[in-house]
Amino acid sequence: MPTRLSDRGGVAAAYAAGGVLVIAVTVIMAWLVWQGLSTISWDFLTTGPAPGSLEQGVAGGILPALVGTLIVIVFGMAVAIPLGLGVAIFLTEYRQPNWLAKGTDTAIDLIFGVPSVVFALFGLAIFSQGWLSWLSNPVGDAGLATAQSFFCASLMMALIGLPPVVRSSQAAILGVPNQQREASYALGKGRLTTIRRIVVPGARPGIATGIVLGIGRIAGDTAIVWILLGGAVLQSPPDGWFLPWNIGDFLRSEGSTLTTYIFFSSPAGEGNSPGQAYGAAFVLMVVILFINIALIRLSRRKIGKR
Amino acid sequence: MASFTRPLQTPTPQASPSGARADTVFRGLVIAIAGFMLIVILAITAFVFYTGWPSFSANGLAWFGSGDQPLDVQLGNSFLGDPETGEPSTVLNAWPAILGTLLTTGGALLLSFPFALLGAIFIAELAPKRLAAILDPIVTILAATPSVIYGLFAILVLAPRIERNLIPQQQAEDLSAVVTLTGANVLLGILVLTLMIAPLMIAIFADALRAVPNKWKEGAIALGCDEWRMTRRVSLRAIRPALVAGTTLAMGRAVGEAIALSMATGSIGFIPNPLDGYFFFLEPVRTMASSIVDYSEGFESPELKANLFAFGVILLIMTATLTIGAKLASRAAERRLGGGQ
Repeated sequence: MPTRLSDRGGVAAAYAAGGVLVIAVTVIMAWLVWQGLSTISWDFLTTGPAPGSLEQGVAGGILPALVGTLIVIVFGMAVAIPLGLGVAIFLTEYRQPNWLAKGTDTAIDLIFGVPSVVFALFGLAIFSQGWLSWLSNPVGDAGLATAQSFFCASLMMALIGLPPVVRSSQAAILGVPNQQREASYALGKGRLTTIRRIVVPGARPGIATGIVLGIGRIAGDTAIVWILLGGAVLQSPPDGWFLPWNIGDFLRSEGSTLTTYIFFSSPAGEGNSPGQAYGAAFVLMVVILFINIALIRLSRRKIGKR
Repeated sequence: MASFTRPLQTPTPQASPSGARADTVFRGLVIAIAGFMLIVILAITAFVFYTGWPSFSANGLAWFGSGDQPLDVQLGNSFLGDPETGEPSTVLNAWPAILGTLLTTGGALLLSFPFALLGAIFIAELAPKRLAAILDPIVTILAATPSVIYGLFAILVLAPRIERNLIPQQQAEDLSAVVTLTGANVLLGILVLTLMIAPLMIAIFADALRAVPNKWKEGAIALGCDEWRMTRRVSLRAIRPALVAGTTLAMGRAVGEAIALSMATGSIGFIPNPLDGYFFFLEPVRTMASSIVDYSEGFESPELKANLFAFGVILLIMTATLTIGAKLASRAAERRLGGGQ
């Protein structure tokens, strides 16, 4: 125990902060689990919102929102992963021309910090132009588009999923020992083969970490979905939406994800039915939990490998 | 910690003729991807500035001032049309929204910085190993929790309690001519942001504390410091850049938060009156980011579009400044601790 009074105060304050943290965590988690479990049922997870405009978001299940979250994750990351990996390889293995490396590096930093609502706003302005109406649906014949569809939301989601992919992959690629590259070159392999066979496999855990971080960012984002997917509409997808000849229309239509479902069902939204919001929040939290468990596993694997 | 800027020191390989072609193509592809991303990001920035510019040029410096009409009326007029002329008006005095952002962000930082610092010291230095091992992943998960969940917690659990316990009937009636007081207000906005950013700051601070080289700490102990003195005199000094980096990162998040604040602040473009005493914190505001979300439906009007993009410009400038600040700070941290361990 420290002797000076001010020091004792400091230690006490640190313990108090720790105590508050433990209590706050317990309260929030207990609240979410308690409220969530009282709503959740098999039907809640496997059905859509009750039909009829009055009951929208007030009764029924969250299946469309769950599917919506999955779709924006898959499509967003499908764009973000190849681009992010490409940028990371350029920034580590090539870095020439130098001005491009510096510019891209700064640009990635910038979009890491830009609030998603700004991307959403940009997306709304771009995708509402007539020549991009194939991404959503045309409005009248004024040459405008709704700008609200899974395509539009996913494309902007790719921008928030990209920075973590780039940064984690970069760090991992730099961690691949140079001897391994040199050994590959000494065997007469070219640069592409070396990157494909040596660098990327060696950096795999780090790349995976970046991907999981990106998924987490996309799963938790509300602003982009609210503005570019039309969160107020909680309609169930039409029957057979997943059939090959329907999927295009479905992806060009409005929808919802777990985050907008929560926003819509909260007292701040039009649905105002806390029970539904609690249930969806619980499910979303479970998703985030799985993502974090994956992250912890990945970081252990990284340490184990070295 | 490897620096991202370290060049690879391998000789350019002498590829076999058959592989050389593929190498060139791949190199071109990778450069094209990087160039494409750079162009996309530059284009987005330019587009946001270009589209928001009319709002600034129409209002001049008054854009940053507080106008005769409330913010919500101005934003409404810019897509419904001015009641007098019938034309959509470009008039915007954004001070209420700027103030809303500053108040909620500033309040949350004041509240969470000391808490996060002490919490990080607790986790990294004081807590029993087992408790720290449990708290560590929990803090990470809290930092990754979607803001809409904190917004939900705030509006369903905290707001009714604030309304019941902190707002006396009498005061609420006195002010009812000016503004309706509910549980959703500046205070709740600050609390939501604190819930969002405190875990983030704790995680960053605790990581930095753990990265302080053991020999430095041992040196302090050997000189007769107890553990608290050591933490204060050695560790806290060593992690100063990380403190700056973590705080700026958290500030960037707070400034850009739209949905949770739209839920928690009452979303009314009101200027809280300092003369109302502590009621100042119980009056509603609307931040710049939540204004964008709240008004995105009236987007067909070019005037409103310009106004919303003008908010976007300010947010972009603020977060870019913070990002660069955080980067400079973490570079300093790397320099300072790079030789350690």
